Amino acid sequence: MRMIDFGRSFATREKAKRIAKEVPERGSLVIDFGDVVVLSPSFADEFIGRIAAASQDVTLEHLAPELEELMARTVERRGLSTQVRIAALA
Amino acid sequence: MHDLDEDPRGVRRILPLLTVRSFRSETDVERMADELPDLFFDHGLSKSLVQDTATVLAEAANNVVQHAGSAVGGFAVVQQRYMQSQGLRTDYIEIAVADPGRGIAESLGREPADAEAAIIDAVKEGTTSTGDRHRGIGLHELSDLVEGSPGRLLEIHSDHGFYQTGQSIGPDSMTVANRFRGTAVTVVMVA
Repeated sequence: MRMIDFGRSFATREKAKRIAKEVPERGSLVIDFGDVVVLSPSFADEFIGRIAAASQDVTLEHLAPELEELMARTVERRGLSTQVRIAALA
Repeated sequence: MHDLDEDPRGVRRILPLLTVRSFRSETDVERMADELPDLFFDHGLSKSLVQDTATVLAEAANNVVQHAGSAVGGFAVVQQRYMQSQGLRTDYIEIAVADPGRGIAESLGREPADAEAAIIDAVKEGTTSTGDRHRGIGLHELSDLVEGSPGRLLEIHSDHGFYQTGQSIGPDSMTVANRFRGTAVTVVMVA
């Protein structure tokens, strides 16, 4: 799943709900954040909560450094560190 | 592209980035956030500054849409300003989001007289009027964002309550004589 197909900026819970509906329910899921520029904390919180409900094993990859910290904080706040993994940039 | 406003005194110059916008819905908030990357990149501003600016804009505006109960929605502006003193130039990004809604105290079920205390509570992680424990991260995130880096300041004015925080001044609040009917959130960041 490529986030860039939905835009470069993700700012609201409403958008998180909309995109999460398109996430297939499966055991393992890889979400590519390449070329994404903006993630708001509200979007991140809503999105992580919903995809974790849809998949047991989630990998977030190609997050820009300025977005990786936000996602790591969000995953930790949600208590999903064992379920949602952030792949380090190569 | 705009040029920095020419001030004959050479003291303060302003470049509008996101000119004053009104917004009423989360779709409007998404539109504003969509505009920021190109506006910033056209002026040589960094990706991390886009992200931080968008965080302020989105979280403050989302609060307006979800909690303010404002009949006219809210208003937002982003501008770049530089100040020159003794030959040294410092660039800032200024973000302001305001609404004429019910104010923070009322949205948290408090009396208007408790405006100062209500703002302090609203900035704490997890304070929300929605009952969802995962909500209420907005103003707390803004506080973290300004306290985590030098040269940043957050100010919140709602009813008679005023709150400010930054790395150099720390959290401070007061009850002020002038009432802002609604909520105004401003953030200044060194560019």
